[in-house]
Amino acid sequence: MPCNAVAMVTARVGDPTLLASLEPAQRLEVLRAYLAAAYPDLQLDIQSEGARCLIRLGTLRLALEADGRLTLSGNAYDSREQQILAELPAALAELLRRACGLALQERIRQTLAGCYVLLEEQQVGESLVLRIEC
Amino acid sequence: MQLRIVILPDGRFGLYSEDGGFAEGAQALAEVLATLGAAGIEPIEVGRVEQHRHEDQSIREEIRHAH
Repeated sequence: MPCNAVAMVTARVGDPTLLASLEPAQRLEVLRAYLAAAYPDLQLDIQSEGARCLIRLGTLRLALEADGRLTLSGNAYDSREQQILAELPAALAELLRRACGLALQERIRQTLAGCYVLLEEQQVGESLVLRIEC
Repeated sequence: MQLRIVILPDGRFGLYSEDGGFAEGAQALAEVLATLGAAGIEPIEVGRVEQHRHEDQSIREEIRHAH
């Protein structure tokens, strides 16, 4: 009698290795899109410096390290700046975790499409469903 | 053999063989995992490969064989 085989796997996501594996341009784009939407009234400039992202948000000068740490250059003086600093680390951690998850999905898709026949590809919510022929 | 792969956004993914028997399905899953590993996608946890059968599968098989 036929029985299907099933395996559940957990891969690393959201750790420094995968975060560093995000394309620098992709990392900048993810950050830019999030910060521009979250703080539309503040002037925004983002640049990469090696593995770091340098962020100018209003008067704040921030650096996002490759391991996800957020550091402040200078001081946060007013209550708005302090509020932004209070909420940004968790928000950016979640943002990058999701970006890493999507990047992992794409890496798996590209790897399998390069080795097997990709019969079907479907996005279901935030999950990617593939069917391949081995 | 056809496999279905469901990749969640948190790094977990499931591999399901959709035809054939358990032994060849398990082998196909192992090959896909090896392919992913060779591409640098190293699993940190792999659950035991299990057999899965729908409750009505034996009935459906019997009906199919009866025809």
